This record gives sequence, structure tokens and C-alpha cells, in this order.
Amino acid sequence: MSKIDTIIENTRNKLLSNLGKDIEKRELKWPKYVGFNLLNPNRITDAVKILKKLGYAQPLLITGIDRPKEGAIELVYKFNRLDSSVVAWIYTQVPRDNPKIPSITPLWRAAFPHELETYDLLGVIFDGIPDLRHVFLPWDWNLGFPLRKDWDPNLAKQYPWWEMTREYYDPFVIPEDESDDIYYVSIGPQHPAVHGSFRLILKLRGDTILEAWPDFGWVHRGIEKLAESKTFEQIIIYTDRLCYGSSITWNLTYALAAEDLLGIEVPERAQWFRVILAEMQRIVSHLLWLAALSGDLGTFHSMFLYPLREREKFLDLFEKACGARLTYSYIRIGGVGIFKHAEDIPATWFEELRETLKDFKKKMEEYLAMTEASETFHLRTRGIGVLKGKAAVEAGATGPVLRAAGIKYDVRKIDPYLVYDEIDFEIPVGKNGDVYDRWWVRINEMIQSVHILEQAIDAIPKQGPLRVKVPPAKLRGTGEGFGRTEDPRGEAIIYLVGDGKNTPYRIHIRTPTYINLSLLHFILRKAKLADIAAIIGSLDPCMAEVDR
Amino acid sequence: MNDPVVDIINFVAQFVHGILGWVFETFNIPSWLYYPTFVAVMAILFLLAFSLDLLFIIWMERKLLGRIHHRRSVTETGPFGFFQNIADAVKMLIKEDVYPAKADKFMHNIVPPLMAAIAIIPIVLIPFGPNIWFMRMTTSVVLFFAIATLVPGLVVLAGWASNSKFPTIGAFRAGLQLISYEIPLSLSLLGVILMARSLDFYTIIEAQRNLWFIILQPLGALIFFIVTIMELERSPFDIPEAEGEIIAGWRTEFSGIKFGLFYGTEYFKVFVSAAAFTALFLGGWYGPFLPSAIYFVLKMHIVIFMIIWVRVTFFRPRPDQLLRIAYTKLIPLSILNLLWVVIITPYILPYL
Amino acid sequence: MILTNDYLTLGVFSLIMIGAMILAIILWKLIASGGLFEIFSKRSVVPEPYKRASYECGEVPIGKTRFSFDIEYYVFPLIFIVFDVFTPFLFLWGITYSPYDIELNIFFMGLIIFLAIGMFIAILKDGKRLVTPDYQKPEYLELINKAAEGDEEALNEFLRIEPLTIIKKELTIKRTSSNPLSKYKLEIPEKKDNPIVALIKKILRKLLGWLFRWGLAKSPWIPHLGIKCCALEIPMAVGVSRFDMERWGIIPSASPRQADVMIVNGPVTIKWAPRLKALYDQMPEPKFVVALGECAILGGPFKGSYSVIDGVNKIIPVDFYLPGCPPRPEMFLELTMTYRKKIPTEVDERRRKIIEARNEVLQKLEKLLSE
Repeated sequence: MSKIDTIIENTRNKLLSNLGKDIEKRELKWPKYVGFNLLNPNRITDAVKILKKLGYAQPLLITGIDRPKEGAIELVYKFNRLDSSVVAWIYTQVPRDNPKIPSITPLWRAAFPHELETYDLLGVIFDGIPDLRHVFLPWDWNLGFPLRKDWDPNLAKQYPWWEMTREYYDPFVIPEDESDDIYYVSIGPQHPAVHGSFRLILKLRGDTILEAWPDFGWVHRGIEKLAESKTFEQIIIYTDRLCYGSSITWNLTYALAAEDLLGIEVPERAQWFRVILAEMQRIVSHLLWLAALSGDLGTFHSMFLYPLREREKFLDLFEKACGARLTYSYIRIGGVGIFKHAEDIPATWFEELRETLKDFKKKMEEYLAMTEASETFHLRTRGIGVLKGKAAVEAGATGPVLRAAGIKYDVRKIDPYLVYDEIDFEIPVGKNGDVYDRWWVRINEMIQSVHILEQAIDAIPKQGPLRVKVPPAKLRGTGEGFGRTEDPRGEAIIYLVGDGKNTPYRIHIRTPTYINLSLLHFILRKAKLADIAAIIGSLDPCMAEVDR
Repeated sequence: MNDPVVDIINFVAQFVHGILGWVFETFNIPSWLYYPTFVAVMAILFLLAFSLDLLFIIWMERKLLGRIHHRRSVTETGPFGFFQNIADAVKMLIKEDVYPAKADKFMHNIVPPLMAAIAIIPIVLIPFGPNIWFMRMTTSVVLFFAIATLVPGLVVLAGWASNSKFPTIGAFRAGLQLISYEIPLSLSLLGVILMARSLDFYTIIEAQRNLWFIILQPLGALIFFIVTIMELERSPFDIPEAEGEIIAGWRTEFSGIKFGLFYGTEYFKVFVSAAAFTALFLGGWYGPFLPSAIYFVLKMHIVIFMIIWVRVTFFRPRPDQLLRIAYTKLIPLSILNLLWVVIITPYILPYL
Repeated sequence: MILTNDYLTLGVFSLIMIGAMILAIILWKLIASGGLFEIFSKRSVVPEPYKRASYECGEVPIGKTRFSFDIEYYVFPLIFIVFDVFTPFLFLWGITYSPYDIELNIFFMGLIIFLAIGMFIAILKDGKRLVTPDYQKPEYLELINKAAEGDEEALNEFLRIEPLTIIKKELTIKRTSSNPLSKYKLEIPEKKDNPIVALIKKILRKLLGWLFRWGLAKSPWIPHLGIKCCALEIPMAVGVSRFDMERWGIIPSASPRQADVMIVNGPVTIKWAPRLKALYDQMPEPKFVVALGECAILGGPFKGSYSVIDGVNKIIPVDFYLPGCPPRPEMFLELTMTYRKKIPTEVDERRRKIIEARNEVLQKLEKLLSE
């Protein structure tokens, strides 16, 4: 505790003394985080420089909230640390009719995707950003900014998606005076190597990639805008479909955020059960990743199908618990499960889980041996797509990508949620940050999840409610809710802002894959065309999560 | 020893002679056309017999892959799914002909049939039994591999003719891969030629009547096998058509029977290469109990089984890693093999 | 069976083989969709502007398609040429080989080894610079290591973002007709054939229609299309050993030019819509579309969002609908079995019905929107 206090004291002293009257303290409802109000938005770069010197690692999230009543757009910057759970929050406001603010991308590259998104959906213009364009909306969109409160939804119907001519949907300029051996390829939305729909525009010479631009927005469903008109209970089904490979984690993150906002306590049995579900989901998601990566590396037949076979066994268990194979909607506000069936987890389910885990361990060792013995696997994965050390932190990677780069950062250890501080597990860390290390880190995470599950099955209380009943009157909240978990792909955050109604005022979702895929600007630079599949596979993309 | 297969083939030949003789008499066709017509009829009969075997090979591959993955593959079309390939071929017959507007129309239409035909023509040089062959030359090995070398040029032409980016990239990679295999091929082939001291398939097989060459030069056989898989563009060397990277590579813009002919070409090449491997290393038709031609076909199918097995097992190297393997590992090994052959041949020669 | 060792045999054999293959192509061109005697007739006239565009994953191709290749591709072929010229002489050695003639053997072996050593020197010493991939060159490795330690310059160089030059065009909203959806009205063409051609078509259909219907039903190939969650279930989880869709002959084919049944497994957003239409155009006839999951049928849980189009049948004509969110793999297997039965006898008739139903829906929508 005292470490957090010293860090918070330090931060406050430094910032308040250096920026004087442009900044003031802000009381947050969480004692482990520190907040500030920045009164002059143009000093954001100075504030960020000081934070960087103090040891803050990455800009986690840059949220824009439209406040028409105050005539301003509020921007919330959050920065995290690698060695403790302190998150620094900086709140600024920019005037609504001239929303300009200096960009922090030249200082911290990890802010680039967040700033692009804020420009795309809210219209805030960042000065000094290398490339200001629409990300989720089509490139030639000029029908307003959807997340503003006074945006007319009928405008969207006027976008001429039915016009199938080139000018309307691909205004991309190629320089005329380039040499004859440079060519451009679009590894487009329909491609077996991109998992889901995303596009990479590549500039190539021969077989080597010179530049790569990832292009998102293909599955953009506007969840953040849709959620503003749905009640807190109804948003759970949207969180499922955020990342279909690991839906429980998003249910969990949202439930944590909503419980934070509404002030609901969850019974202990539900917390242990949530841990069990989350770790099972981690294994399922990593098995899917293993199948996809092996398919991309060439054994489209054998190593693609064997992990999926193991995954089916876990999906059977999920189906026995909640009835669905892919999008569960199982973790709800207040606990786990729908009321009529919440008491129905029999003891035999846990025994079956134990049996499945034993089988799984044996099979995993077999698959590991098979893959390690193959020399071509090492040829394809060692030294490819390297992102090491501090470069990974600067670029904004989280999750297994960051751990493979040599940095020990896991939200379950740094900022424990649920009952993770009572469970004993390790975090695998790699050395070189190449594709091999990311593979190795994820495989070991699966083995660690097995340990966690074994401990949790022993420790879960046998009796107790799985969900508390929350009366509808309590489902209204003011203030903020912050849910932060470790998704199989990285750090997942949901930030809720409520204003007393039973629908949220703003929901902002930080998906790890969006930042991880923006790393492709850097990693793909000197790679070969044949390596794209391996590199994208090692970053484990799940496109619905990127585009929200 | 009365070989039943030779008897059958002689019977068929007599039958055809009879019919043709009658036709030529009644219609007064000039007699210099008799011999070409006879060859043509036998070729068509061979094509029919060969198609049946091809059907079996493709079916076997799909079933084998399924069993290795712990599932049953095609089961619904015909008994045990045997007619699945016929259904595929029939479906391809009614698919529309779609190709890019800027593609080279003539090349697009002429390359698939030409490639399919060139892939199957070398079979004419391989003897299936002591008296079962189409033609016999003193230099049949050279002609065999010379015809097989025409295919890479057609592959690059197919990719280039499509005037689209993915086929072009695929065509370049295919061209690279397919010409790189030729050096280890020639060198390991040389080992066999040195030991048998002849360039004729027939003599090479006869030289193995006591001991197969795979036992005398295991390294050469291994290199030839790897190089065969490289030539066939099959996994693990299927970079030109790697689904994960460049969609279908040089085959992307072909639809309908043009694609069907490419699909078939792959299996024609498998057939022909397996026949070559059997003739060069596995002793051709020599074997204890069964009649000779059946033994040859059996050995060929065992080689095809091995090719399918290798497909499911290995990861796929990148094109430049593949070239590195071909040039820095296979060539030294084949030179080692040559040294080995030169050293042991004086001692083996009396026994051959 | 034996023939004289004449090149005539080879020539006749080659001619027969080439002739057989060309015959296959000619036959195909006659009876395929779009040919003279089409057995399965073309679908109705959906305007298909992207049918003959070259394939680039659904996009309009960027830049040129005839480009020259980098030198790294030519290093190995240059070495190959040296060996290629040398190889025929090796074969001559093979024939005249006598194991007891030691001088000749040493000469040839020495020549081969000399060439090999030369090749090694070429690749490993001078060609190494050309042959090492860029990411293994020492400058790049140094850059990565320095960036890993936190060196400012190295970080800036490594984490450089290039801007994408996009034309900032003014989007002119042209509403040419009263409602944009009317641009998509499908029409059935009234095409009159030559009476002889029509008679031959009728005969062929009666004689061979059953065969081609059988072929089309038993081998549906699907293009690799994975839009959202349903893609994990179908086609991925259905191809797993547990459900195994290959039993019915379903293979995922990478290029849409060789596929039959397009499975749309996710919501279609305004960014995806033109490309989906382009991909649909690039598939050859006869083709079918399956709308999988709620998002593709009517927009699913995202109906009403600004970026999702409510249902894929506003873009392409759909044949089969499979509800579920996501549908179970067993439901898809039942769909396969239904597909096999429902491939129509008369393709035109069924198309006509679908098109009429669709036009009705569009009319109702127009009325709603204009109110």
C-alpha cells in the first residue's frame, strides 16, 4: 500500500509544481489511482513529458466524452505503470466548436491509435499527429461524427454504399515517380491469412515489405453508440460479440465496470466461479490461436485440427453450464448466470472439468513435442517480427506480445481483480520478442491456467449464491466505472460514465487487439511477404474486437 | 514364365489390330495411316485406364488425410465417397468461364490443356513390365526429364497471363522453386546412371534385378524423393499456391475446367513422378510372387502413399529458405552421393 | 505391346493427349453457363460490374500489375544457369562410365566439386549481401537491440509512422432516383435464342440435366470468407474432426473464382458492402448464397446502427437463410443436406421466384422510407 501512496505523492508533487496553475488535483473514487484536471489543454505535452520521466509506461486509453451542456468535449487520458497498479488520469476539456489539442504521438507512439479513434468518431483534431484519417468509418466519410450527442442518425443513410465505383470507396494515391520494382498489394478483407476481415496495404519491393498500413473498420458496428440507448443489463450481449474468441472476458470486464459504477457487491462463490470461467476461456482462446497460427505456418491439416479438437471438449463444458458454444452472456451484473438456473451447477461439472484438464495436459505435451521437433518451425519463427524490450512498451503492446518482449506485466498480478491475489501462479516471460517467443509465452500461459483452475476447483465454496438480485431502482448510476482485466490478448478495459439514467452516458472499450495490430506499422517493415501470416497469427487478432 | 498381364495386353492389341484391319480394308484408307491410328487407339485406351487410377489416387488422398486427422473424409457421394471426384469434375464442367478482362485471352485458354498434356506425356517412356511399354529409346531418361522441365515455363506463363497481382507473385515463386530443383535432380539421377551405366529406363530396371538401387544409394533415393515433392509443388513445398499467403497463387484467375485441368495436372505429375521413382530406385517390376506389371503399380502406389503422408506432416518453409535448402544442403548431399557411388561401384558391378 | 522405337509414337501420343485436353475445354465452353448450349442457365441480370476485374481480395487493384522483380530473385537462377549448361556433359559421362577408369572419374568428380565450391563462394561470400533477408542484416539487428534498451534515436527510427496519402474528396450525395435501393432492382432478361440452339439446349437438358444437378449438389465449394463470430462456427468449427463437413464434399477454396456457395457469416457494414458485392461478382455462375446468422439475415443485435446494413439480401440475392446467433454446426450440416435436395431442376424458375419476392420487399421498403 505504501508503495502506491509514495508513487501518488511523487506524481502529484511533480506535476503540480511544474505546471503551476494550469493543473489541479482531482479526487477519484479509487484510492489506488491518481487524477488531475488540466485546465489548459495546450499544456498536455508538458504534462506527458513529466509523466514519462516519472516512469509511467503507456497511454492506456484516451477517451472523448461529448458534453454539449458545457459546450465542450471532455478528454480523459489514462497512463499506466509497469511496476504497480497506479493509473494516472488527466481530464481536459476542449471547446466543442474548435476541438484542437496538441497530439502526444511524437512523444509516445502508443497514443496514435487512440487519437485516430477519437478524431474518427468525435472530431477532435490533434496537432502534430503523423496521419489524420478515418479509421472505422470509410475514408471519404464527411457526414458528421457519430459519437456526438447531436448527430442525426438519418445522415448515415445517405452514405452511398451502393455506388460501386472506385472514387467512392478507395481514394488512395500512389506516387508517380517511384521505381519500377515497387508495387502495392492489398491483402484484403477476404484472405485466409487475416483472421476475420482486415486489410493490409503493403508497399513491396520483390519479396520484402517496405511499408505496411493496416486498415480497420470492416466490422464496425457502432457498439459504443448503440450502447448509449440500451440499459445496463442489455449491453451484456454486445460485450459478448466484442471478441468472439474470448467472450467471457468481455462479459467479465463489463460486469466489473458496471458493478463499480452501480456499487454492487458480488458474493464469494460467484467470484471463484468467475475465475474458473475466465481461465477456461483463456485456454479456449489460446487453443484457437494455436490452430490459426499452425494453419498459417503451413500445416493446414494436422496442427490446425488437433487443437480445435481439444477446444471442443472445453466448449462442451461451457455448454453444460450455460447452453452456448461461442457467445455466452453468462457473467451478469451481480454474479454469474441467469436467475432460474443460477443454482444449477452440480458438483459433477467440476469433476468433469478436472478430468478434462488431466487429458488436456497430456495432449498439450504431445503437441509441444511435435512442434518443437520440427526444424522448419524454428526456421519460420525465430528472429521474425521482432519487437523487443522498451520498444514494445513504447509502441503500446500489452498481453503476451509485451511479455514475449521481456517485460513482466500482467494485470492479474499488478492490479488484481476478483480473487486472483489468493491464487498462486507464475507469469511466463520471453526474451527476444519474436514469433517463437510469443508462441512459447502463450503455450506456457495455457499450462499456468491449468494450475489456476486446479487451485480454484479446490477452493471454490461449495454453497452460496451465484448471483445477487439487483433491484431495478439500483440499476441507475452516476459517476464512473472502470473495469480492467487481463484478456487472453492483452489488457482489456471498459470505462463507463453514467448520469443517473438507466442507460450509460458513454461507454468506452479499450480492446488490446486494436493497439497490437497498430504495431504492424513497425513490425512488418523489413519482413518478407511470406511472413505476414506468421506475424499476424502471432499477434492473435480478433477483428470484431478491433472494430467494435 | 507366363505373365497374365502381358497376355491381357497382347490380347487387347490383337483385338485392336483386328478391328483396325477390317476398317482399313473396307474404307480403303492409305496404309501409312495404319500405324499412327493403332498408336492413337492404344493411347486412348491407356488414357481411360489411367483415369480410373487417377480417381482412385485422389480418393485415397482425401481419405488418408481424413484418417490422419481422426475423421472420415468424403463418405456421402457413392460408396465410401468414391464418386466425389467425379462430382467435382462434373461440377466444374458447368461453371462459367470468368477471367480478368485485361488478361491475355489466348494464353489463358491454351495454357491449362497444354500443361495437363505435357504433364502426362512422359509416361510414354516408362516401361511397366518386361514387355509392356510404348516406346523404348537408349536415352529415355534424358527425354523424360526434358519434357518434365517444360512445365515451369508454362506455370510462369499462366501466372503472367492473368494480369493480376497475386498470380504474378505466385508465378515468380513457382518459377524459382521449379527450376531450383533441377540441379539436385540431375546430380542424384547421375548416381543411378553411373551405377546402371545406361540412360534407358529399361536397362536401369534390369540392372536392379538382384538388388534395388534404394538399398545401394539410400542418400540418392532420399534426395530424389525430396526433389520430386518440390517438383510436384506439394506440401511442404507448396509455396506457389500457399493459401495462407497469396490465395491460390498462379491458379487464382482460372475457373471451371481450366482449374480442373490444373487440379488434374498435379495428380498426373504425382503419377508420373511415382512411376519414375519406382523405375529408378525401387526395382521396377521385379518382385517375388505377383506378375510384374501389378508389382510395378503396387510399388507406385506405395510411393504415392509416402508423398501424401509427407504432406500432412511438415510445416512449410518460406521461398528463400526453400532455395537455401535446395542450394546449400541438397547439392552437397548429392555430391556426397556421387562420391559414394564412384567409390562402391567397382565392388558392386560383378553382382549387378 | 510393342511398337517400334520411333518418335512417331511419341508424336501421336502427344497429339492425342493435347487433343483430349483441348476437347475437354471446348466441351466445357459449350455447355457451361454463358456458353452456347448452357445446361444451367445464367442467373438473372444482376448488374455485375466487377466480374471481370482482376482479383485482389475484393478490392479494386492498387497500382500496376506488371512490375519488375528485385535482384534477390535472380541470384539463384543465375547460379542455376551455370549448372544447367554443364549437366548434359554429366550425362555423357554417365553412359561412358567405367568404374575402373580412374582418371576420367577423378576428372569429372573434380569438375563437379570445383563448380560446387565456386557456387558456395558465390552465395556465401559475395552473394550473401544479396541473399540475406533484410531483417537479418546486421544494421537492422543493431537497431532493434538499441531500441530495446531505450535509445531515443533508435526508438524514433524504429517506431516511425508513414502517412497514407489519401485524396480528401468532397463526397457529393447524389440521389438520382427517389430511393437509392431502386438501383438494385433485379430483372429477368427476356432473351430469345436461335430455334436450333434452343432445341439442342432442350435435348441436352433433358438428357444430361440430372448429371449436372448431381455434380453441383454433391460438391459445393465455399470461398474463404470470415466476417465475424459466425465464421468461427461455420466454416471453421464445422471442418473440425468432430463435425467434418468434408463428408459432403465441402472444401474451402481460397480463390472465389473456383467457389460455388458463398456463406456470409457476419453483419455487412457500409465499408464491407461494395467489396462483398465485388467478391460475389467474381464468382462464376451457377452460384448460391447462404445468409448465416442473425446479423446477415436482418442485421441481428446491431440493427439500427449507423454502420450496419440490415441484412445481406439488400446487396446480393440470398438463397438460404440460417438463423441463430451463432447457429450450431449441426444446423449447418442439415443445411448441407437440404442444399443437396433443393438444387432446382429449373434454375430459372427458382431464380424468378426469389427475384419476385425480393422486389416485393424492396417496394415495401421504398414505401416505408418515403413516408
